[in-house]
Amino acid sequence: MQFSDELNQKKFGTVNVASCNFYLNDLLKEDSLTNANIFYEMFIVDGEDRLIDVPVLVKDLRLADDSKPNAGSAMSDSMVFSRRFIVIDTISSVSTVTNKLFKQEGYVRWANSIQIKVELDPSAPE
Amino acid sequence: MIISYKEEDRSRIDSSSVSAVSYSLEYFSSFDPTMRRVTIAFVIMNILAFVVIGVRFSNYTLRNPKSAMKHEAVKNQVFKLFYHALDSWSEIIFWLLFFSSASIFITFKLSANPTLLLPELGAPSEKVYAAFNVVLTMVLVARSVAVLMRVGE
Repeated sequence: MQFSDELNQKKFGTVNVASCNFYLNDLLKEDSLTNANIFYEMFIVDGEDRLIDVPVLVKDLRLADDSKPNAGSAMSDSMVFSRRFIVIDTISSVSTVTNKLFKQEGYVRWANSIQIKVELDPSAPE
Repeated sequence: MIISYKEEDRSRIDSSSVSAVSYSLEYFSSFDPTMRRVTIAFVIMNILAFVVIGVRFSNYTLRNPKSAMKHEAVKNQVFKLFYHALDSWSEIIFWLLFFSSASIFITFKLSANPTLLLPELGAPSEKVYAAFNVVLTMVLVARSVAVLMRVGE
């Protein structure tokens, strides 16, 4: 990706698809990860400088009853949207904080696919 | 925004473990209302096509009564019915395809504000393109057969 592509990403109507591979080992170097274990919320700034919150659909969401409401590919009313999302999670699966070996236990999770879809509303050009 | 996560046991991660990640940003317009309107128009145009086929075939039988054609009457009438069906149906449905495509394109080109995008290529708009391609193929086949029937008549 070139710098001009980087700038064009923010222009309206620019379709952008990017993919890459990374070493999972990097996820274990938590001290050097600046974006790990941070909750994000996404907003769109409209023409009047208002912040419009963007709903987030986590495909792998599992509820307390072990159901997966977002697993299907087609949109349905039973899907659960959220506001916050995380890119890299290295601590939520660690059960014991005091154990010195805790960094050897549990799982690391990462967002392996992020899709932003903007649907135009014919009745509201903004 | 749609996110999928992956997870891995820390103990299974070694220096060669690799994972692929992807990011995409796309803009699109919903063509469901347009497809509903075109489907209704398709049904109406088919009814119109049947009426036109009936009228044309009726005129043919009036101009060419069975008594005048003798023993080839049935064969000729079946041939003409088939010809009128292909000819009239393909012509009427062609104009449906033409005007529905033209209305989408003109709306897109004339819009001062971004209110409509043309259907993108690929899986997200496969439903729109598949329906269009199926009907277009049927029209082309029907029209080609009608022309060949006319030539060979």
